[in-house]
Parts: sequence; structure tokens; C-alpha cells
Amino acid sequence: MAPVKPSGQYDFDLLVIGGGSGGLACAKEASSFGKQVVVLDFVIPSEKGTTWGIGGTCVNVGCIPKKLMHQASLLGESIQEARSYGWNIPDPISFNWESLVEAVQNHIKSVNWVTRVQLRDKKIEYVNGHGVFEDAHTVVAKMKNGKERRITAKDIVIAVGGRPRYPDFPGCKEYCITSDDLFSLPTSPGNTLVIGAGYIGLECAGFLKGLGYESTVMVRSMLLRGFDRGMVNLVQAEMEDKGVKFLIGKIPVKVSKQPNGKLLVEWKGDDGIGQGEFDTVLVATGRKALSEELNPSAAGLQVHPESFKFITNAEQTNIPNIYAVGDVLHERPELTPVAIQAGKLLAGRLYNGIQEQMDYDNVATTVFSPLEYGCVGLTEEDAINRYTENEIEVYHAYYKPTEFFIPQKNVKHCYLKVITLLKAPQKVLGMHFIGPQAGEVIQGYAAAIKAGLTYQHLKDTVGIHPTVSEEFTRVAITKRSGDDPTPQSCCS
Amino acid sequence: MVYSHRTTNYEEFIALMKTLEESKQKTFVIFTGTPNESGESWCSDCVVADPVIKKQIEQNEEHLKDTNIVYAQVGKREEWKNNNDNPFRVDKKIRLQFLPTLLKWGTLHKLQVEECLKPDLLNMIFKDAEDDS
Repeated sequence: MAPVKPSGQYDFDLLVIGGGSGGLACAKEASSFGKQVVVLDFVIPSEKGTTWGIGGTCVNVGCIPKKLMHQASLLGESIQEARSYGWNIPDPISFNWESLVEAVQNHIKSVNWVTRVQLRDKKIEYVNGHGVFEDAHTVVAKMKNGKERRITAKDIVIAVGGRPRYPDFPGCKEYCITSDDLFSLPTSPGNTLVIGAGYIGLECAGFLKGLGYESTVMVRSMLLRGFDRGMVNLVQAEMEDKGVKFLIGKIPVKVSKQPNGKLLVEWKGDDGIGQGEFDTVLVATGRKALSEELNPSAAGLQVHPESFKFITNAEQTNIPNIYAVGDVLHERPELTPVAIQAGKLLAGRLYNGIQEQMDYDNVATTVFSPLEYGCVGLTEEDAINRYTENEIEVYHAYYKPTEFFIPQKNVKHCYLKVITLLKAPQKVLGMHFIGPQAGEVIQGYAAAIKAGLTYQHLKDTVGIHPTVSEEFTRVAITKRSGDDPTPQSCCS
Repeated sequence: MVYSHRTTNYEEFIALMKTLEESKQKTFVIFTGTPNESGESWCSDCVVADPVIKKQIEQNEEHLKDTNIVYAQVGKREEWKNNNDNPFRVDKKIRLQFLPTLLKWGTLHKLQVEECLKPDLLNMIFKDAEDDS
């Protein structure tokens, strides 16, 4: 498809490197303002050789397959519970990994296709090539077949995202997989060791256990760094109750393949060395931005010396016509909706005269652990650091979801917390929720916080009964009071 | 050379697809409403899309060498509308939702309803290399 020549000396008005959530949102928005846009997307195969189509991490190897596998795991739990609700279900029930992978991959492939249809329909050109800078207005797209195409554009948006980082120990790259590979793994993972206890590691360990596989998490220092400590402890306790094992304070030393085909993992910790045999070892020890692969210095671009990410001012890099959105931004949340919002607003500022900037504060998120954890705003630790303990109030409560009673599900870790300023009207600084459907619960409260939510507003809100979300309208016990936050009865 | 086929019900369709699959040729299926007595499909969107699709097939002839085009009639209006038991809706390999739908058989590449009216999108589905995603 020959693009209509844009006004001026360049092939395109906008060139976007990276067809993930942020890049695509920016490209589509720019095209809606009549701009000529080209999107480059290319997936470098993982160490295990896994590749995928357009759409980026979220669609292919992130949020989407993760949520689907989490759902598969929750369904297994629901089938068991259904017996208590009168359903006759044969025993034992069984699960087939290959069928799940096929269903998940088919969903992803149809999303890849729909994405391409949308781009074509909006006259956005899609180039399946790896973009490398030649200068500030020129990018060379390197195709799989070795061909190259030089493309110039007035503006360039970097939206290349990141990929899993492999820790450095013998056998790691050879024998371990990452989240890039898990969701398309052709055979069932079996007994799995997850190295790393960030949200990706915990989510994978959680759904694998729910699907019936033994799962163990190796933790170097702490789980879910950056999240509220009290909440994280409950997430861990719930996972332990569900049978996920934790190796705390351990680092991997070596992975080797045994004659029986199993992987022998050796580790060390404060209490000496240890080892264990697993079928699958998944490393989830953080992600690295794909900035260096762009040859950024050819365009004069600077990256942060440690994170290798771009430091931007309103998404603008140190080169005025080059912008960046999404996971390649230094010290910004690595979340799909953040990238989408930033990409859309950027296109609006560049091509539609709007002034609005991306607000990176008070972004809600959810960890899809077996019992989900959703939060928005400050952690208790951050609130204390920013305001001191004397100036904040922490309301908290354990609660009992109605539907947990009949199957006698564990309610021990259903807990929530609202952090406010002490001074009236007690502006809400942070909200934290562990329980079923945490993401659905916290999303609405995130909008309320954007609108200036106070504790008084929560108190004045009438709940919907019986829901778990209504617990936020009932929370009244402060940590300061020392009163017991456990409920006395089901419907008090 | 493009080979055109027509099936008038689900059983015919399944039998035809079985032989076509054995031939290993590329196959596109156009799902459409069964014509009424006057010879026209009750599905007005299908009627509108038909000449557009035919034109793009002609224009893409060089990409469609030894390709099968199957016109699959899915039933009369009452057999399709509000009928969740229509075999084309139920079949896991098809899961048909809308008419018309143009499906590249054996893939998840498809165009539905008004997408079938856009020459550019038709070119894309007809031209695609196998591993493009």
C-alpha cells in the first residue's frame, strides 16, 4: 500500500517503533487527526525460540494470557465449590494443559489479526520489521528475510517496551523459561520452580498451583517490592494456604539437566546451600527495556545509565522530535493502560492542539494472585514517609464474602485498608483490597480518588448488599484505636 | 486459477472441506444466507458484499493461484436468525457469528459484515503470507 505523501520532506508524519499497547494507541489517535502513520513491530525470538504477532507484551505474553490462565485456575476452584452448592460433579475432575494453551493461543491470534485489520482500515502502515535509528528522523526497518527499508518521519515515538531479564547463573538461558514462553508451552509444565517474587512470578506460581501443578517460588529478599507490606504478607499467607511453597532468602546458583530429564536447581541462602528437582524452571526476575536494540545514540538519544530507559519530559526525549511511551520510560509504571493513555494524550498534544498531560499518579493496579490484591494510591509505608504517622489515619477490616460460607472457603486473608489524612475531611491517599474480583472492586474507587474522595464520602455512600466492594463503605475501625478489625458475624 | 465451490447446507460443507483439506490448497470460505425463491440471499449485507468480494478475488488472482473459494450457505433466515443451534454457529472450527463472513480456512483470519465491503481489507486477507501475524 503506497502511503499518501504527508506534507513536507518526510515519508510519514509519525513513525511508531513498537506495536504494543502504547504504540498502537498513539498511532491510531494520530491517524484520527489525519496524519500519515507507520508502525514497526518485530519480536526477537526468546531464548527458547518463542515468537508472536503484533500487539505487544500485554496481548501476547502478558496481561491477556495471564488473566485467561488465572481464570482457568479460578474455574477449577469453582468446580470444587460447586459441589457444596448442589452440583453433582464427577470425581476426580481433570485438566488438560494442551487444551488451555490452544484456547489461549487462538484468542491471541485472533486479536493479532483484528489489530492488523484495524491498522489497515485506518490506513496506518504496518511494517513487520525491527526498527533501528539512523538519525533523528530516519529509522531502518530490518525484516526477517534480511531485507531493509529506510523510513523517514517528522516525529518518532519509541514504544518498544521490554522483555524478561535472565539472571546470570550457569544453565539459566539453556534450561529456564520465562513468561515469554509459558503461555504457549506445548506440554504441561509439571512441578515448577518460579525464580522471582514480583507480580509476574507470583501470578504464574498461583495459577500453576490452581491448575494442579506443584509450584515453588524462590525469593531473593522480598515479595512484591513496592507494594504495601501488610497486604503482601496476606497475599503470601493465602498462597501458602493454597499449597504454593516459598524459598525465602535464596538465590539460584546453577540449573542442570538430570539423566531422568528433570532440572536440578542448586541455590544458596543465609542458612547454606540447597537443591531441588523440578520439571520446569521459570525465571521472573524483572524486565529490561529494549532501548539499546534501537541504536539510540545514532539519533543522539540518551538513556538512563542504569535502567537504560528514556528519561522524558511529557514523553519527549532529549531529542525534540522523538518521544517515548510505555515500559521504556524511566521510573514510570509498567502498565498497559498507562502506556495507552500516555500514547493517546501525546498524539492529541502533537496533532490536535490539546494541552493535557499524562497523570502518572493514583494509577490503580491488581495482582492476580489466587486471591487477588488490588490497590490504588499510596502504600501505608509511603504515606507514613510522606506525612508521618501522626498525620494519617488507617481504616482497616477483615471481611467475609457471602459466597465463601457455603463451601467453607478460607476467609482469613480477605482484608482491606483505606489510608487517609487525619485532618477532616480525611482525603483518601490509598486504598488496598485483597479478595475476589479485586480489580473490579478497586477500579471504581480509583475514579473516586481522582475526583477527590474523602473518608467522609465513603461513609456517606450506601453499599450494595451483598458484595465485597461494599466493605469499603463500612470500614470504620482505625489501626490507631487498636480495636479488632475482624467482623463479629456475617452481616453485622 | 481460482476454484469456486458452493454448498447449500452444513453436511455438504463438511464433506467438501474434508476433500479440500486433503488437497492442501489454500481455501477461503464465504458464509452467506441461503437464497430465497427469487434467487437472492435474504441476507442483504451478503448481497451487497458479493460483488465487492468477487471483484477483489479477480484483482488478486496472482495471489490466489490454486485457491478454493467456497460459498457456504448457512440456511434460510429463520434457520440463522436467533437460532443458536445452527450448526455453523455451533461447530468449534467455525463459530460463525455474523453474515457475511469471509474466513481463511484453517486460520483465525476473517472479515465480517462491513469489513467485507472494504477492498483494502479484502486485499490484505487474500495477499497474506502464511506466517504473517
